[in-house]
Amino acid sequence: MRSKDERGLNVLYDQYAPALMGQIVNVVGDRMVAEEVLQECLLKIWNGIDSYDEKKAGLFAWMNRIARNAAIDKGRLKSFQRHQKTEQLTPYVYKIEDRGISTSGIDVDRITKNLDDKYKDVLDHVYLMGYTQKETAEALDIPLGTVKTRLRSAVSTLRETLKNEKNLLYGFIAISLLLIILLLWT
Amino acid sequence: MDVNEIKSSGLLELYVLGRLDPADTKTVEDALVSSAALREEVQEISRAFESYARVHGVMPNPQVKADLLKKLGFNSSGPKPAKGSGPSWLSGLLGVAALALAIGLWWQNSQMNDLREARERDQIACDSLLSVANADLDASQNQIAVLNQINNPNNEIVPVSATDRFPETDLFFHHNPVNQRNFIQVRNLPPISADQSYQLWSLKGNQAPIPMDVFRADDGSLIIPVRFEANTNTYAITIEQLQGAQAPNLENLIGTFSIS
Repeated sequence: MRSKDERGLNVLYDQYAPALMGQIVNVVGDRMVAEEVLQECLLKIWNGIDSYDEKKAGLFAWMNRIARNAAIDKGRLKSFQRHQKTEQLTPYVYKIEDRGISTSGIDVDRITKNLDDKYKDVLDHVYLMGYTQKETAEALDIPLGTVKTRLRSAVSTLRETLKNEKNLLYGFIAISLLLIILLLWT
Repeated sequence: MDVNEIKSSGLLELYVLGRLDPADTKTVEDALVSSAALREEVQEISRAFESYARVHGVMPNPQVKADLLKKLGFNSSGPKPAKGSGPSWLSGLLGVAALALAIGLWWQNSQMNDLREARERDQIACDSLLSVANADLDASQNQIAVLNQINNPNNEIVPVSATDRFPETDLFFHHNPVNQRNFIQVRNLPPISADQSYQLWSLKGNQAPIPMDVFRADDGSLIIPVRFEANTNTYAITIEQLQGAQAPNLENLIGTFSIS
């Protein structure tokens, strides 16, 4: 991507655009507007890739901040707010089963089922919808401290699930290799 | 705030989300510089958020990608073919450079072949010289060995008694009963024809002469090793036919050596 060639742009788009689009559409609540914002934010990422410092955060985290900020900025525009009044924004408009996207081999069911609803609500508000912790507390009508605790617990559960996913993958690879060796042996 | 306090404070999650105020951001980033464990923690949190975002990803309209490629000046149908990637003079220049490189490589290869052939010729010449030198060395070593034998203090050196018919015969017979070896030292021999040889005989009392070595000394040998025959009283030399004879031609007796 830093070489600024077409291949880099294809990687940026194919690998990250759907995940960023998911973030943006959950903030702005409108698919067409979200696509405009996505294009703007991909341009920002493309033009600002040299300012990315891998020592500070992961690449996706950096992109995600740009996407979320771009989406929140769009949401603050009066013109957009007027547009928003005509279409009541409902959280969770975009259900997983409606999206038809690649999730890079992630077991969607396992990740979402392992996450308790109360954690999922906090994570969706803070991460997907771009709410601050205070806004989340107000929206969910829970204390700010609880938001903080649940956010940490949600991230912890996600990490644990991913670790198990990784172990499952390694186990599958090991068993496959063992079977191949046995087949070759016989 | 130490590393463990930062871990348990919830600051890292907010740091990854970009929701920290500048003061807390600086606290975290200062700690990240010095703590590998904290960096790993941040990476894991980032991966967790990323996986959640991927799960909730939404595929944008393909037109978004097409517009983006167009805005950035890329051809959406894929990478541009090499043919159109530069001006024609550049292609021509590259072609000439490739041709020059090919000619250069051919010339270098040709030079290498010439050098290789010259080296092979030199190698053959060296081998030949070495072979001659080795042969000379072998001959010298043989001569030294013979000379050592001749100089053996146990040798009896017997001058030839030339016959009246061949008075020019001048030989010495080196006889060594200890190591049982004999040599004839040639000083002068009567001339012989191409179908003749000299032959040595062993004479023992009343026994018939025993035929021994046949030689010509054409190669200029001055010392000729010959067989040792025990209990020989006298050795005689005759001129015989080329392959030698079983009985001596006494008319051609050129000399004798009496052994004490």
